[in-house]
Amino acid sequence: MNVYCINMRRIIKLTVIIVSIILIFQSCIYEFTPKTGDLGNLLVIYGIITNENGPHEITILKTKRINSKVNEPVKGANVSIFDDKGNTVPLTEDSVGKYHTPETFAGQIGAKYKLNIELQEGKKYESDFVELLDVPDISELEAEKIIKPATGTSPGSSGYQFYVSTKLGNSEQIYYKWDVFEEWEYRLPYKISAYWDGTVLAQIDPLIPYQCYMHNQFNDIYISNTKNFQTNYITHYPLNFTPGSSKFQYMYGIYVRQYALSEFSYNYWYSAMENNQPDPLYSKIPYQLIGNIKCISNPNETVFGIFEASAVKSKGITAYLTELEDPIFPCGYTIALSGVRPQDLMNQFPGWVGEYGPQLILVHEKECVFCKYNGGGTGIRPDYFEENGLKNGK
Amino acid sequence: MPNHELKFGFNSILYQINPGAFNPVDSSNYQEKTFEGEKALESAIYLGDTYDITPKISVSGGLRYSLYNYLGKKTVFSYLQNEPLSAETIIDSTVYPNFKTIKSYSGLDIRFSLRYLINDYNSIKLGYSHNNQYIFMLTNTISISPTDRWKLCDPFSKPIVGEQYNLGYYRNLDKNKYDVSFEIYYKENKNVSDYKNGADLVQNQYIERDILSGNGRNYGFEFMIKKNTGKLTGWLNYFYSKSEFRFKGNTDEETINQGNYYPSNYDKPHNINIVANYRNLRRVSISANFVYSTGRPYTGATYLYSLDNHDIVNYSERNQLRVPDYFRLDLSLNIDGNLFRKKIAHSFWTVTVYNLTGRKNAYSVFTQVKDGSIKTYMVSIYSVPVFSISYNFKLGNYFSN
Repeated sequence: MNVYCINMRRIIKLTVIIVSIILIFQSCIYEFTPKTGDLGNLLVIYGIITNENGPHEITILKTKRINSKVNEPVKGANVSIFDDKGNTVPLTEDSVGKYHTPETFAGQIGAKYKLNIELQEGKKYESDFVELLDVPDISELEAEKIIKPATGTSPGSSGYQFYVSTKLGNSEQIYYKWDVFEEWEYRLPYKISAYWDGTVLAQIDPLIPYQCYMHNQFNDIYISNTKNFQTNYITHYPLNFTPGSSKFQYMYGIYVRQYALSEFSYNYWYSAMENNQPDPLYSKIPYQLIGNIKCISNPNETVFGIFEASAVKSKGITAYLTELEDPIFPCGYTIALSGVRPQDLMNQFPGWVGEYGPQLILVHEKECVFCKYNGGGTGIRPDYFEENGLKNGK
Repeated sequence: MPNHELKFGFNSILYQINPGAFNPVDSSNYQEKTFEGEKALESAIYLGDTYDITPKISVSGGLRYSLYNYLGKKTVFSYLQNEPLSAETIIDSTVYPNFKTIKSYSGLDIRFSLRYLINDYNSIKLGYSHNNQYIFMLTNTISISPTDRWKLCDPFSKPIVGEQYNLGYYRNLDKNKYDVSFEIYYKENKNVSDYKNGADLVQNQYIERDILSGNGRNYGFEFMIKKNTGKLTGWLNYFYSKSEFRFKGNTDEETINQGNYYPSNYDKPHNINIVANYRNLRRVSISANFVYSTGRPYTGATYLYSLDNHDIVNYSERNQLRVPDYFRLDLSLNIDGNLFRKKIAHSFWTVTVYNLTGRKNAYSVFTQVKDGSIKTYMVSIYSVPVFSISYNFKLGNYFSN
């Protein structure tokens, strides 16, 4: 038998072995629906009392479908807050599942508060007493222009990385949480000054704002602590990274609210972070997250959520990127006008009259005129959108 | 001694466990880690006796005294009393040289069984045992790939002490054509271990900070019927088997599932096994093997909700969910070679189909959040029928063992 035949036999044998191994040991990943018969629809309660004037909100939901974010607001509950001096603050249900304190109610630093809920069916729930801790000021917010490297799941991008630093806290101020909101300006193409209803041209005063502002809260949980620090303040803690986009075209800013947490609250949010972001190897034991609210009527009933109390300090910072300036494109169906007199507008459908550059136009579509119909923004400029914004980073 | 069968002796086992190393591949940012191994020596002396008291009554018993030493080389930390073991509660550390005794345990194992022959066809057995175990396996049901590890008892993990009781009834029917048996058992274990909530399964240098000590209980019963003769032989057995843990500590960190009993990783209540062999011709036989068991428990993501604009993924209680039930049917055809008496070797072909129904049995389970809902996935190996053909031979002829 010649060498060629022997080699061919070896190749065939090896191929058969490899294919067999692949076929035998092939593994597949399948989606399935687990049996969740023992799992009930559970109550989810959240609320935080601060030292700012109300209304402060308590939300009560019931998980409706296992594995889904569709949750049902719980209406008709009797909700009140007690303090450690025996005072009671009743809450009113202003929208389904959302219960508010009076606007005049503000929590007191050092006081302890407890949440009390009674549902329509008679079940009673109660939180632990939580102390309203004071919080130091935010020392500084920083915005640094960086280029974020690509990762396995996302491409690299340039943008702004934001940081927060706190002022020196006392021995009780160890745990911190930040809620971060982003706000940015966008503009509508037309400066509207009048409205034509088909017969009458009416001046609009004040002018309809063409500078619009969007507001969004980041979902990420930002927490930190000074437990092992020699000095009780946090410096240069990374918050969100915002990649460059049209958000930076006119003005972009983040507004940060800083809270002081109890150790229990801090551990709660830390556990929530761990559960939300299992590492790729799924190498940590996940667990059910239970807060500080219990069912008094049935101690075996599981209740999700947490009741908190904290003072608040806040600060904002702005930034923009000039290289992202884009021309403003027209919007909707417009008619060029030679003048702004009723006779110029005869035979025209109702619409708004304004300037588009040097040109006068009539436009019919609301989304080209009003911020709220165009992206859901408002015409209210955030207070901190002053000239302290960073241009093109540090 | 008449009617006695005495056995005695001595044994000694040196355990050496190497947890391995964590080596990143290529240019990963993960830091390389090599973990300290474990070493222990277990020595024991034992004495056992089987005594036929009467032709109908036979007893068997034994004692085993063991001495266990947990040995260096190892760095051992001391922690604050009455506080959970963690990096924050360390007060001191001691480096033990190689083979130096760090901690010693000892214990007496007892076993006893009694068999009573009611008559030639019926018998009853009862048994009791008390034993100490110095090595155990830490398992979990959450990771995609195996992260089980062996662990030796150390200053923080005491020996597992088990007590078991069992009672059985056995009967032969139709002149030994059928064997029927029924057994029940109950076992309690102290000092069992399981991972804490949030424990790190992979990169864990100091495992004592991530495991808890608690109690376990196992109970169940088994029914079996076996056919010994005829063209169709085999057996069928059903067993009900519960295995539960309970960890109730002084703090929430040291407690699992509010301190209630919960299914252990091995809890599979219902199990059925059927083995059947059919031989109509001397040279041809067909075998079937059927296995069924309740799906094993796992902890999975089950709730999604929003708190203060933060999306929260919440999980079931530990081991509250179950993977789909396991079942598998295998079939094989056996064809023997010729039946000549004088031959050097006897050959036979076996054609087997493993997992004839192509059942997708779960190997592991994991969950992900996608598009605002929780998706649960299982990894399944051998999810299709697997065919095999083998050629076998043995020295001798058809009747040789």
